Amino acid sequence: MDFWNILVVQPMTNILLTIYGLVGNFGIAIILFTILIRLATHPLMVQQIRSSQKMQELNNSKKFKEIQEKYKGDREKLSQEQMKLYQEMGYNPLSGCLPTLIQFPIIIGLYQSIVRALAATPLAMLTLTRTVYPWLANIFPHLSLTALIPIDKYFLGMNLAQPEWTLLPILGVSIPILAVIVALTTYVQSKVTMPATGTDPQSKQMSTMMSLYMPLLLGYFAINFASGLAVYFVVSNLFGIAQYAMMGKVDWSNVFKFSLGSSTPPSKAVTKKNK
Amino acid sequence: MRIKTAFLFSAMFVLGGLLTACGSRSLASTDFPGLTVQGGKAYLAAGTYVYRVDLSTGQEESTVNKDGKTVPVRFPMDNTATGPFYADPAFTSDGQMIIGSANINDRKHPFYSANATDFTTTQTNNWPYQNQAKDIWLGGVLILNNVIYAPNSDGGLYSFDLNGNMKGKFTVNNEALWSAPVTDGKAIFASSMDHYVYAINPANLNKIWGTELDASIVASPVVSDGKLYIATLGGTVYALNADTGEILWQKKFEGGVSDHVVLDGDRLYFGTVYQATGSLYALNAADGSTVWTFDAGSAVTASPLVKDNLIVFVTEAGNVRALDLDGKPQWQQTLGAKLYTAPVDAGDVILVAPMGKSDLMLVAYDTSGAQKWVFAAK
Repeated sequence: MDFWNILVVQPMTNILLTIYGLVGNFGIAIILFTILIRLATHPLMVQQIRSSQKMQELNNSKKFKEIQEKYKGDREKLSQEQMKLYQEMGYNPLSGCLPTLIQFPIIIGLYQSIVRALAATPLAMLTLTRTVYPWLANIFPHLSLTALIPIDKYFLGMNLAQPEWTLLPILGVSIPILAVIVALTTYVQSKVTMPATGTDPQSKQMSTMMSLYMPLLLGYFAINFASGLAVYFVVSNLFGIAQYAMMGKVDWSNVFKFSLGSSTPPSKAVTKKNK
Repeated sequence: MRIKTAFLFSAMFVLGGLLTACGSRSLASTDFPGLTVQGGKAYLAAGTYVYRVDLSTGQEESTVNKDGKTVPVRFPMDNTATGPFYADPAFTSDGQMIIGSANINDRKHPFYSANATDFTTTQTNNWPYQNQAKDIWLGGVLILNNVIYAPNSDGGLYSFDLNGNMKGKFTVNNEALWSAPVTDGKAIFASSMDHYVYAINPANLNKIWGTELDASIVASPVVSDGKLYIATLGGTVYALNADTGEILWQKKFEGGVSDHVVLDGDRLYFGTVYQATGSLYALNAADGSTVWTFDAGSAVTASPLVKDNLIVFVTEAGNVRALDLDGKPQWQQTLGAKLYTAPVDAGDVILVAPMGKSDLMLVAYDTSGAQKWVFAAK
């Protein structure tokens, strides 16, 4: 897929290398790059929050509750009526997915950019030499390939090109500390930024399951892929929480709620907004 | 909400699939294959396996396994070792084949010794695990006076005896060693991605000298008559005094050099990569002056082979070309695969190892350019 390379991987790799050329540390380059991406996708995040609020309002509306009551024995009909109501109210259930959707090409592109920039094999090195824009070195001589290569792949003792496992000398075993941090921050982010889902128990169950599965899935990625990707996950999660906090949308009380489908009261943040 | 959640779940699994796609097992090599000729056989390190190919037939041997099935003899025979393998396999005087794994996800970074006859693993990954090798093994090893000198991508040059006991370690500046060290019998010379070439005492692995060059060095130096010839990714070819590391001359060329220079008589030959193109150069070894240049029309990542007054080289576009010593074309063959590994002299034939095709893994030509056989993994 050459267009993927030209449109996503090559620009991302060059931005990463440019930041690296300026700061001289690839881990910090990933962190700064992640923050750049978070800032660039901030409008999408705002849209997601609005979409969640609209969904929340819809789920708490009288009409929605009436439909639930009326068709509680017929799930297919209930689903059709809910969709009809969404259409009437001008709400697209997939609109809140866009920010998450945008994350996927970024994650894949970033992973490929990290692997490409760190060039762990001769073929990867050959690819890297063709990835760096030749004009970049003309503007910034310190960004020439001969000056950049080899990229310092170590950050806080981790080899960013490999999955991170830290040896615990006392126990004599290695554990994936970064993957644990990825899972924890993903869980905290999903909980503190999770909107209350109204009265629909199935939706609540789905949301709770998501907040459990996502940390496990990203933790699995962190264990099995280059730790540079895990650094991205952690920074992205922490920055995301900070963004929500600055907008007054964080509800810390959600962190310790583990209900699976049982009814929970709407969160403070959304309640405040609904008033 | 259910639609959204189902959508997100599906998307996450697609993401997982996309990220893990690069880890699948394949018969064909996914990086530059390693190739060594030893005792009438070609040993091809091409990803998951090291293949042993008979030079007269172009075929693998087969054997009957414990389940009564006929299987090809290829390393690993017993599923105790995992690749991928890209280094040139090396052989000890007592019949071991030595090769390290380039598996980036294997935290033990295994390094193997196998019985070179039946390909059973005789020594597994204890060496680097105990001694904390932190990265993959891409370069071949040097065996000198029954000591194995193995370069690792963590910047360590490890030495072992033939029983796998670690003897010492030399470390460069946290950067990778990708190529086999060479020796003049007195010192070991190792080139590093940290821009330095080092001379090391083989007895204690202490540094004798280190000289900084203009860029990372992917390939081994060549040592002859007290001089060291070496080329860098920055496209500069150097001649150094092997005793002191002093630079005797240096010449800059367009592009980069990603394999070692070849010394034949008073000339040096090497290929270059400049984006998608490249050239083959002949230099005067005495002063680095250019004797001739041949525009290859494609990247030349691998060293040429000088044999029978021919210079045989391969290009990324899949061409096998032969020039005479004056740089005039003699013959050309085209393969439908990328060629990154240097052609190897195997006596009656010249071996070429394409990358990425299981039906075209090793091709033999005679010096007139006639194809003798093709090895395909089954």
